[in-house]
Amino acid sequence: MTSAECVVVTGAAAVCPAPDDDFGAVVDPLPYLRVRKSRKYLAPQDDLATVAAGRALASAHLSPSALGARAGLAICVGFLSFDERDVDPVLRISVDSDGAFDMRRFISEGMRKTHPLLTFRCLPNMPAYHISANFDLRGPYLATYPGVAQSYDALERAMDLLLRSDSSVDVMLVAAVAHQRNFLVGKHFARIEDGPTMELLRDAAAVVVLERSSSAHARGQRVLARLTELSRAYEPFDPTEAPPPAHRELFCGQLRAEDRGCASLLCALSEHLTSGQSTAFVHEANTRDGHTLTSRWEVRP
Amino acid sequence: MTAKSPTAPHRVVVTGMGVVSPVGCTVPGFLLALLHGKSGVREVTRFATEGLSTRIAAEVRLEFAELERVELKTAFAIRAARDAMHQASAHGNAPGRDTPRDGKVSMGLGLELFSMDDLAQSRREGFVAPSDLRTRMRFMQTPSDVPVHVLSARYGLARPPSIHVSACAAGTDAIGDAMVAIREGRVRWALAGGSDSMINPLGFAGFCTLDAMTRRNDEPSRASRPFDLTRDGFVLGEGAAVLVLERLDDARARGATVLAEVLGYGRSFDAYAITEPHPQGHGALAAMRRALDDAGILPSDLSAINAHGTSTPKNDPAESAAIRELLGERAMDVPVVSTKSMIGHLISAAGAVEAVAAVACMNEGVIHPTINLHQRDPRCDLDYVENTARNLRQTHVMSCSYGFGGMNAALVLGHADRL
Repeated sequence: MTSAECVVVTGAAAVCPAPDDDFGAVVDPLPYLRVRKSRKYLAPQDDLATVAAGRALASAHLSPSALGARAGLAICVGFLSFDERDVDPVLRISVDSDGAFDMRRFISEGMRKTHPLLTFRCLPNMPAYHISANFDLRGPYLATYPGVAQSYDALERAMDLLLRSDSSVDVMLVAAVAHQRNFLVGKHFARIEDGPTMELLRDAAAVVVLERSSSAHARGQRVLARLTELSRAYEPFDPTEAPPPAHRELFCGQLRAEDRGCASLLCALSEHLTSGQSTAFVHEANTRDGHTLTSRWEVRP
Repeated sequence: MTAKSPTAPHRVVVTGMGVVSPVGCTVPGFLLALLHGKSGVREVTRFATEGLSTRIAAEVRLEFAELERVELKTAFAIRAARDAMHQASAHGNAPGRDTPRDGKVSMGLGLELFSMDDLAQSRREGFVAPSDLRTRMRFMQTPSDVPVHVLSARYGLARPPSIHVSACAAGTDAIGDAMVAIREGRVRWALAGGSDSMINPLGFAGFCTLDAMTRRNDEPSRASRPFDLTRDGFVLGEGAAVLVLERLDDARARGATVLAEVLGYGRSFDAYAITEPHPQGHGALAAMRRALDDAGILPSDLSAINAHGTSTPKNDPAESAAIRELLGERAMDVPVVSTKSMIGHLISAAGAVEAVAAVACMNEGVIHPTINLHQRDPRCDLDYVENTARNLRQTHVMSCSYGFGGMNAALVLGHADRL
């Protein structure tokens, strides 16, 4: 590797269904599943992540047969999502006459109402599993959580893995997925001072494909973008003692009302790249967990 | 953002350790219990389990003041970090005293789960946001990022913290990731480890539904039996471990006692199946090989392996196959142990607690036993240090964690005497 070597974006895709879209119709992972019967294991966040990964790899002209042990994934997953139709029947039947949770009722009646694959739907590393298994990624990984600051962590780690002089990877997928328009995430944000309302929350996922510039050049792949600056600052705070700082995000200097959670950077970047624009992309954010973030991207360098 | 020019990497050492476990909440107490083969498994006391297929777990004895103000994962992490910092500061200055802004927290953390108690109460009150902050933060059993911010604030670590959610591999990933960050000069020191508790109604019932846990309810202390032919699933545990990691030159400069060196880290995806590991342990083997390559040592240099060893029907033979392939002709010469035989499976904290076990044993010149191993599965044909601790001088130990969903991680730890 030469010192002039850099990491470039060779593929990108965002999946951001509108609130009134039919989620299942817009976000259909079936074409990407190696084993069709594995469909039952996918929760909505897995659907989003799998579809975004499939489209991003297609845009990078990479097939699973080209990936394997030298391809990895750094992924950020948002807050645990659950729909009211899954939670409420369990809750309703698992309380005593005063409305307090009753473990005996939960075991005898409530558990029957839980989804039999509940655990698979709760684990934050399941989107990583579905991407790795369906696209044959067997290299290194980072699985983190829950906001845009941690999506920067994923991005930085993927860059580091590709730029190491003894790098063992040629391709890194950087992914972020936030399934937010649901009962549990909505209730979580309702408890935060300036938390987004359900009207502003969006479901979103995005994946960008990173490679070394020499690899992209060698296989004749078009370069979509190059990261020119990434900075992350952090001011420690104790969330049990002080309310979180205010959240503010700018995309090329513009505020957006809608909230795409941890997928906000990668979605906006992917949309910018696939829209045909050639202007630089800049993302700046102050997050609820004390981070100040900036990234600048040169488009079609 | 261009390729980094090769620079001499920094050596990374452990100078403090803290642990919260079902068999002890100090490192000396934890080690003593392990060496005596003490089991921390008993009937669940925290909630009623009648009617569930599993009614036992490895609970931490709850005596912490922190529990009054934060939930379990955070309380465990605070206690483990406190002890790790205390040990690291016992000789010389406190770690990071001269570089306080250059430290980070890196933790493997258990998944958030909505707390049924809290959700029921919230529903009863019409989902009105409670006025006090702590009650608000308890919703969803506390979002899992809370412990890293609490520790960062408490000890003034001002580099962005890392949160690892790679399930059962998360604790190992947190330590490995922090080691790499220090080695490459991105940070000077770190509090790294894992904290988890899934011994709650929804977490526990979820594992029962999966039929992943043992049903040996009548003999709790014998229920976790890795590599034994009669094993029937894992025992759920809980706890935390935190290690102080820093540059070797910084540790020496401040007069700290070095406990071990973190030499290598490897990770891989199985990309195989959602419910089971590759039967020949291909993903596990790749992670172990990458950790050895990263450490710059050979399989023949290993003195012992702290295995994932869950006591599930599928993990133990797959992991044994991977170790056998890794070690080749030396397969029977390298002792392999499962800490989970005594403390159960601590999920996201498992790798960190087992790394503490490995370092503590290495420094004592002993290796703890794998208990409840009386009838070895024929597919598990390694030296598992059955039932009784053994004296063993160790120079290099590997600690392995393999996550549900096929995420595999391994660490190589070196004895401080080598430095």
